[in-house]
Amino acid sequence: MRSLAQSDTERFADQLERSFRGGAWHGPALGETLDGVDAATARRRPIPGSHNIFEIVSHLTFWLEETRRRIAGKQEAPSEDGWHRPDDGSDEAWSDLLADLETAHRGLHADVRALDAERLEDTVAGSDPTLRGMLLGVLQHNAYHSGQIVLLARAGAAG
Amino acid sequence: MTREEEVVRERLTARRDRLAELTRERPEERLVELMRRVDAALAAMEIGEWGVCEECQEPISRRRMAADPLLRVCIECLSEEARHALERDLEAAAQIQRRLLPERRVRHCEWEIAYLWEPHGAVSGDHVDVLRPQASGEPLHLILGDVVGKGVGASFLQSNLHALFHALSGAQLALPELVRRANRLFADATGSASYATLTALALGDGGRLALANAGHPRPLFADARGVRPIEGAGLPLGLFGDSTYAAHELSVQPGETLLLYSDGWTEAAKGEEEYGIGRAAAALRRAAHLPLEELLAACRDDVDAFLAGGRRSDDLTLLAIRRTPDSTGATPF
Repeated sequence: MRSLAQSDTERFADQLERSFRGGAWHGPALGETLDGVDAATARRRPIPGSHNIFEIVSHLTFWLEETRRRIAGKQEAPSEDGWHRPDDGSDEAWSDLLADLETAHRGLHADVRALDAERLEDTVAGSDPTLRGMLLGVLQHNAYHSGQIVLLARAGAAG
Repeated sequence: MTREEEVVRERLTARRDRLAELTRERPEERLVELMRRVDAALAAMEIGEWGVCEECQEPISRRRMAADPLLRVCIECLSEEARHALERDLEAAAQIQRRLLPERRVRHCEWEIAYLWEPHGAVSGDHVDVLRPQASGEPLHLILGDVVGKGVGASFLQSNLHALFHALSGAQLALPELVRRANRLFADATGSASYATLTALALGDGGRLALANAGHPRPLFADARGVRPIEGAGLPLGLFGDSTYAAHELSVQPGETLLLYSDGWTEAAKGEEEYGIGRAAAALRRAAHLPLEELLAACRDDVDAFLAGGRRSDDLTLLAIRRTPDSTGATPF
């Protein structure tokens, strides 16, 4: 039985886990939207000119890792935004990317759980000037791209 | 002396004073012997030897000392006869506890209820109960709780919870008042070192459900949109005698499911990694369409799959409540 009052960092960790694995307010969490998506679906580009699921997952992974780097003290903004067109869209590359996403989420979740709540007001680079703002942004980012993945998977299946 | 030892010493001192009074009135040998054992425990505390086995000088487990502060030897040093006696007592406690459990499946008006109860050892610190209405128009109450600790000590507290909720159930109390009174009685009976978390529900008509939470893990609610935890919590029972509680009302549509659980589900861990609320919610989402017994088994199997053959380290209880899909109409709560 753990202690009763949730600290701000525990709340963030809770919300990160729910936005990633399950229990999200809006419906399926990121991991749930990817459940059953294979490499062929992830490669498909049902809306010409838009990103596909492969690229979106790569982008999400980049930002989860970037958030970890900033919690660890990195100050400068990144030189890229994590949008990569995969060189290799193979089944193996897709399962490796999902494993990287899982690792990035698990690491960020652990980092946030271990974070001293006072550090939430630390200044970080980027559009949200504090760690608190950045973590709120990560939650919104997960939700935004989860919705895109759902639509792309449906459109890909229909096409 | 640790805070835990100070609490035990206070209790033993109070117990000794009470025994001294009793033996003055009735100098029975068993009372005198008990007082000698309490004196021996207090003396051992004074010289820092409380909790150390008199035979092998090794520490006795904290869990056993918490359950019985008068212990003087560890399990390894018990005689075979004493060990058999202990096993018999444990089995008797387990049988009594199982007899206190409600029916595994309950159908009440438009509600169906099922639960899964799996102790970690012979007995459980998890508490699950169904309190049927004693007069027409009253709601059905459900309780899922978890008392501090595990094993026999926890099972004593669990049976105390069972008794006091049954004693209160005929008083036609609103849910917050029911939990408030239960808290006061539990605090009086156990002292502040013992506490229990719980969620109490009152199931009414028309899909109306009231929920009061006393420090217990958030219930998960599965509807057409998905699964999410129901927020809101009060203090655990037994910590403070004057705690008050609020009821949150939910309007449950036919086919929707609420899942209560003990932390043996969400806090199951594989190394440093915890199963967690996210996996729990995802497991319920996948199983939400299943009949309740299958849903419960699927949720249990999901945590076991996560543990990958590792053993759970806590009691596990899951309680599912569903408004039956054929329910229609709405009458006031």
